[in-house]
Parts: sequence; structure tokens; C-alpha cells
Amino acid sequence: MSVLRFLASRLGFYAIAAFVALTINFFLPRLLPGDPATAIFGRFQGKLQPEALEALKEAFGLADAPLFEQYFTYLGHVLTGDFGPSVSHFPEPVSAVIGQGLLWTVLLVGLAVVISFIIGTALGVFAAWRRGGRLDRWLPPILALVGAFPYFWLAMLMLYIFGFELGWFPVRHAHSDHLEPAWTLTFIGDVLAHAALPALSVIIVSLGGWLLSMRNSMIAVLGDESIALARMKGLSPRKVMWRYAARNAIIPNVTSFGMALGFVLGGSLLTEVVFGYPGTGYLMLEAIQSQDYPLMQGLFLAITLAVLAANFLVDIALIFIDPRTRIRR
Amino acid sequence: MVGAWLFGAFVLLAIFGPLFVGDPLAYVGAPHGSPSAAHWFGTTGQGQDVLAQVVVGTRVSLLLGVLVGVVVVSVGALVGVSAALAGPRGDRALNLLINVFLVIPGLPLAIVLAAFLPKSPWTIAAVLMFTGWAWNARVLRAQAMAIRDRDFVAAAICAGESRLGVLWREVLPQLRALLMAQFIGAIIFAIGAQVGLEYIGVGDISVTTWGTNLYWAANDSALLTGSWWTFVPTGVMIALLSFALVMLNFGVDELANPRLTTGRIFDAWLRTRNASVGPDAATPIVPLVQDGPQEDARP
Amino acid sequence: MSTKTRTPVMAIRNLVVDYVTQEGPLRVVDGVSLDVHAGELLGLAGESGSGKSTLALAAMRALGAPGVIRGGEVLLSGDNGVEDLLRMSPARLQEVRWSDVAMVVQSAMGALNPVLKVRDQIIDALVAHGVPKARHAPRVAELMQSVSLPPETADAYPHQLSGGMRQRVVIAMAIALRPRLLWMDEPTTALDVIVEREILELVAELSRKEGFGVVLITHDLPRMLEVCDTVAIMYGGRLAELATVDVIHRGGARHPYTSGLMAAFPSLHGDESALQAIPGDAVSLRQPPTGCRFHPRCARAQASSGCMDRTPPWRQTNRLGVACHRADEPE
Repeated sequence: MSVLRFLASRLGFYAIAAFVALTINFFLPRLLPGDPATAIFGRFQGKLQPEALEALKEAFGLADAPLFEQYFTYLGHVLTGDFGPSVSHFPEPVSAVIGQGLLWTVLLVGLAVVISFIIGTALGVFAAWRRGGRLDRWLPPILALVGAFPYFWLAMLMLYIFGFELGWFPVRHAHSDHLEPAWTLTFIGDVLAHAALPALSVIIVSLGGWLLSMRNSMIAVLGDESIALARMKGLSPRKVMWRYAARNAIIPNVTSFGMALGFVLGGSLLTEVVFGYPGTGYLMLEAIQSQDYPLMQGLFLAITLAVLAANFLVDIALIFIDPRTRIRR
Repeated sequence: MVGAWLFGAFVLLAIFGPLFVGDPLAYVGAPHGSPSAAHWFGTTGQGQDVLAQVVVGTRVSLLLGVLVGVVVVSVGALVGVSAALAGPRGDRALNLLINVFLVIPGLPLAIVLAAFLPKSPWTIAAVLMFTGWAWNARVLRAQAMAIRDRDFVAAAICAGESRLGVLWREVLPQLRALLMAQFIGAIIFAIGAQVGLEYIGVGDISVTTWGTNLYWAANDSALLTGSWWTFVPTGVMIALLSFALVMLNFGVDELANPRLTTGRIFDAWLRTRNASVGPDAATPIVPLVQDGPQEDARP
Repeated sequence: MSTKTRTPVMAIRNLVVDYVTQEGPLRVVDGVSLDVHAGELLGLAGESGSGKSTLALAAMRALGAPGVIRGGEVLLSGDNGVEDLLRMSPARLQEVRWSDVAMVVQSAMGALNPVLKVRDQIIDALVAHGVPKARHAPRVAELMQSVSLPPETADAYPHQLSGGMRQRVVIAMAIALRPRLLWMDEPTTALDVIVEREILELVAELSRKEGFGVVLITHDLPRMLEVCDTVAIMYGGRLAELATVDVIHRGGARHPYTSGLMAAFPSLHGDESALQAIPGDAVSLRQPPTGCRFHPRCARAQASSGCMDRTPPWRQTNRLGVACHRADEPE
């Protein structure tokens, strides 16, 4: 019963967050100072088909209907998945352009973030357990140094060294041009080869954050009486470490995993740009270069919804990890 | 300590550095020239001096980072601490606001905002202030709540001190170290995000900053032409500055967290006596005879 | 008392414990000796900072950083004869703790693992000490019954239980392997008075029934006098007095600090008129007074007896004793 209540309250929260994102998205072009919307609009006039211009007009709030009516029309459109036509890919609708990009982003970033979280968390457990040990003394500063580089810059460097100079990895796109997408081993292998380097760059940069936060929460838990008691009970150090310490220390980390997801995702978008990886980040670059505002806004919404969905998955994971979300008193 | 020195060096470089290098946008040599005596860091794809660009870029990027850091932490503190002291209903509303801003991915929002607004470093700063405060607010709210529930603060509230008085006299002093740490973290965030936004092309590409340096490096096909010197120096500077700040933060953390120091002293003391805490964490035994007389003089 | 002649289940000898600080080691427990017999309830009292909790944790070798044991013995008598807990191999220590000597720590909420059911936390202890699997479920049921909890409590998570129930669970866990000695470090600080009383009575009853010795550490002196047989009073890291409850009730405390403590608490049987606080501040371990550590606060302190410059020796009579220069002098 209270599992459902927990999930319902989380869903309610995501609905509010989604609503806020939608509203920001709607008002963005309408609140601009000095009416640059008209200026931008003017630039496109004569270069685009009339339908595309109409879409832009709607996106910029230059339509004639009163504001609140525009707002409800907009909400109705978004709820049916209609983000209008893309300017740069006209007449393709924004939703179609985004669809495939989102898939690639989820693949790349999902893979990288999950691997990074697992490795970083495990390293954090060991570092805290052997506090002041070799791992604990060397790894955090090294990873702090690596994590100090911007995501995309490290991606550039890795692409330059391993892609261009050494030629170990493919340098662009999500798969080789000559392969048709299919569930074959060749294609999957090809996709993984293309994802490896960008994923690796994201993993390396984000590892330190997970390690440090797990280390700190583990150290806090290790100071608890429950750990002293578990030791006195005669449990083996390994059991104390995993079943009593790590099992509890991971709970706040899983919660912040959801929160940090948006941040890591933001960085990964730029990594996509560096690698020409056809995800939402690369689309964002295209949209900026061609001033395709409807596409930009659609991407923002799609990414937001994806992050909200991922957070909901984290909530479900929490139900399994923390009995306090499962059973109230 | 290293962190403080390094950060100080960056501040000096930002203030005085531009006086010693030439115009970062002037055409000074053949494009994509590798590092040489005339151009230590080589030239860009536009034939501009990379060293001059890196140095001049430091000024805007650092200023912007510090500015955004101050605002983001102040807003975070305002919202977070207000939530902690506002009573249940106010707290629920503010906490909802914080969580909504946390869960909406900041960089995509910042990109879209910056794309619509006029291009300038100040736009970037404003956008980052708008999208970046929530994390600080969350942490400060939690901390302020912990302080609020301590006896002496509860006593001050009972004694009829106003909320503002409690905030100013009892809560803020307790948060000083945390605020400092957050400020440092916020600078790192701001510089990284600024560079990212400019790299993807929503900044003013005619202004020389670390972000636009990297934008132009990518735009001029630095990787294809193998001219690594157009992007490596700027990246190393960003990393060095972030690293200096991270190190500074470790230092602040130690000041704020005496337990860290206690643990270190304990471990060192044990090491000099050839003792250590085993994996079962049993209390170590160090017989008194091992020590010199000065230590045992105390009764 | 009938316990006089038997070997104690635990004998602490000259235990010295330091905390390592920036300025060097700080002596927190300074040469304490204490015997506990089977079935005996020993109360350990003293102001906060007197070293009583440190003593308990050190005697379990469970004192965390920055604590370090500097000397002494913790002699346990069990099936293998008398063994010193401070000189055991890690493997032996792991065996002995909980099966011979167990502990109930201060906060029952903090002591329990929030993500495991009560049953699993008890079974973890059984498994660690080689209890065969077939015995697990019956033993958990027995334990729930011994601490007067409904059997389904075993399948609850700690957060589903009230403070009193949690403390009962912690006690059940502590006696799961039928230890000979149970340390109880302020087990009732977080509980209300009624629950506190129930818990202490439960422990006294269990001790009588199962025959284990108990060291009960508490601030609550009157309650301690109600349930315990013997009382040990600590001051400034040293043992000040060891007396039977009967003697103390009869006003026979020999250390001025014991008398002071007694006067500072309202008696359980009315008579609140004579409440008196002990003057002065608790002893500073950084710069402890010379001689008897209590002398700056003691009305009977007298230079000619050596109170100001000589550490008072432990004067043992039978099992009891006192560390006061003027204990044998008339008032």
C-alpha cells in the first residue's frame, strides 16, 4: 500500500516538474527583451516555406491569439507529442527528429553513467574501508584532477590521441555508414566500438564524483553504533563492510544519483558534439547552428522528460534498497 | 596550501596577464602554426596567438566564474535557509521549488535560454545564475535544519528572538565553512558550464574567453589538422584552476570537519609506535613502556 | 553476598585507556580494576567524562578512534579457563565477543541496521558463531519471548518499532548466544521513565534467570540503586568507590564523592528537601588536579592527609573498596 503511495507522490512531483519545464519553455521566446523574436523571425522570412514560418510564428508567440489561449494550444500540442515542424529539417516534425537522437543519447549516456556509478561507488567503499590506505590516498586526488577537466575537453583530447593519432577507435558517428541498423552481432559490435571512446571519456570524468560521495557517506556510516555492534557480534569484516556499511551508505548516493543525472547528462551532451555522436547533444548543436528554435525547445523538453523518467527508475530502485520507503510505521 | 597559491596565481594572471600579451584577435602568423619561439603556444586556425588568447581568456572566465559563484551561493543560501526557518508550509513550497530546479537538467535549459537571449558573456552569467542555485539551496537547507533543531537555536527562538535575528546570529555563523566550500564548488561549476555553453556556440564568439577559444579550435578543425596546441593549453588552464579550487576545498573541509584531522593525528601516532587498527577495527593496544618519559609524565 | 568466593566472570585489572589528541595522549581511564560475578548486577556510575563508557568499550576492544588501550588486563573466565581479552588473536576475539561477553549500546536506533529485518540481524550473530541453521528460527522465537515481544516483531524493520521495542530487540540480540556477561552502556537514555523501568526490570529478571553478570552504566543513580547489587563509582578516570547497594542505602558510602552523588539525586522515597549539588566543575582530563582528583571539590580534603599531592591508594575490604585518604578517619 505505502509503496503505491510513495510512487504516487513521486509521480506527482515529476508531473509538477514537467509542468514547470513546459511553462518555462512556453514563455521563453515571449519574455525576451526588445522583441528579438521578430528580428530572428525576420531573418528567416523569404528563406523558408510558409508552413515552416507559421511554425516559427507559433513558437515565438507571434500568433494573434491571446496569451492564455496560446498557452493552452501549446499544452495541448505538447501533450499529444506535437512539437511542431523543425525549421532545419523541414518538413520533418521536431518529434521525429528528436526520437532517434534520444535513443542514441540514452544508449551512450545510460551506459556510461551506470558503469561509472557502479565502479565509482565500489571504489568509494574500498577507499573508506581502508581509510588512509594506498587507494584512499591516491585515487581521490587523481580523480579530482581528472574531473577538473571539462567533459568535452577530455573527450577532445581522447579523440585526438586514440582516434586520430593512434587510430584505435572510430572517430565519428554511432555506427559505420555502410552498416544498416539490425540486430546482428556485426552491427551491435560496431555500435559498441563507436560508443566506447565517448563513453570512456564520460566515465573517467564522472568517476571521481561518485567515488568521493560514496567514500564520505561510507565513512559517516562506519562511525555509527550499528557498525561497532556488528563487529562485536563477531561478523566477518567483509560482512560488516558490505551488509552493514555499504548497504546503508549507498542509500543517500542513489538519491543523489537521480539528482546528479541531469548534470552528468548535460556534460555528456557536449561529449556527443565532440564525437559527432548523433544523440540529442549533437542535434542541439545543429539546432543552434541553424537557429532552429522549435527543435531546440523540443530537445530541452525531451531531455527533461528523459531525466524525470530516469529519476522515477531511481525511485523504484530505492524501494528495493531502502525498506523505509516500502513500509511506513 | 597548494590550492591557495595556485588560485592566487590565476587571479594575478587574470588582472595583469593581458598587459603582457598582444591582441588575442590579431592575425600574427600562419594559421595552425605549431609552438615556436615567436608563438610559444602556436597559432590558431585564424593565425592568432594561442598564448595571448589563453591569457586574455583567463580574465573573463575567472571573473564570470567568481561572479556566478557569489550569486548562486547567495541565492541558494537565501532559499535554503528561508526554507529551514519558514515553518512547515513555507518549507514545503520552497523545497518543491528547489527540487524542481534540481531535477530539470540545467545545461540543456541554459543552452536554450542562452540561445534566445542576446549573445554576451553576461547572458551566460545570468543564465547560469538562474539554473545553478538549486544544489546549494538543497545542501544549505538540510544543514540549516540541523542547526535549527539544536538546543541553543531552539532556545533563542523560545526566548523570542526574531527569525531574522536567529538567522543572522545563530544560523549563518554555523554555516560559514559550508558556504565557503559551496562558493568554491560553485566557481568550478560556473567555469565548466560557461566553457561548455560557449563551446556549443551560444556565447558571443567575438569575445576571447576560455570557452570561445575551444569553440574556435573545434570550428577550425583542430583535431583533423592535428593542431593540438589550439585546445590543449586552454583545457589545461581550466583543469588547473578547477584543481586549485578542489584542493582549496579539501583544506576548507578539514577546517570545518575536525574529525578528519583527529583521524589523521591518531593514525600518525599509531604509525610511529608500529601499531595500526586491524580490519576487525579492534581497539589498538600500545603498552605504555614503548613511550618516552615526557609522555607519561602526565598522571 | 554469595559471590565472594567464586571466580569472577570478568576481572578488569589496571586498565589504562588514552585518547590520542593533537597535544598527545589524554588519559581517560587510569588504572581501573573491577570484578563482575555471574548473576551479579553491577552499576557503574559517574559524571559524564568520568570514563565509564570508555571503560566499557575498551573492555570490549570496541573503542573507536582516537582511543587506545595502554595497559591492563580484561580476564574472562569461560570454558577455556581464564583468558585475557586484550591479548587474544583477532580470530579468538571474534569468537569470544558476543558468545561470552556482549553489549547493549546507548542508542537502540543507531545500533540496529535499518535495512535488515530484526530476524536477520539476530541470525547474523548466530551464523557468525556457528549455530546450526535448524536452530535459527526457534532461537529467534525464544528470544522474542524472553524480552516480551510478540513473535512477529522479528519480521519487522527497526523503523517500524517504538523506542522501547527497539531496546528490547537490542537486548534480545545481545543475549542471543547466552553470554556470561552483559555490558549495558546507558541503555535507557532515549526512553521515557516508564519504559526505562520496564527495560531495567527485564534485564534484572533475565540476569537472574539465565545467570549472566551485568554491568549497567547509567546516569540515573536512584534507578541503579533500585536494580543493582553492587555500585562502582568512577571519578576522573579512576575508580572512587565500590560498595554494595545495601551499604549505600544505609548511608555507608565511604567516598565523599559517592555521598555527594547520593545527595544530588532525589530519593525514590520522597524527602526532596535535602537535594544538594556537588560544588565545582567536573574534572579536566587535560590538566587533572594532583593528588586525589576530587580534592578541589571535596569538603573533607585536607593537606595533612595527602589529598592534594598523593594519589589515594585503593583500600580493599572483602570485595569492596574505596580510594580516599580520609576514608578511615572520623568526620
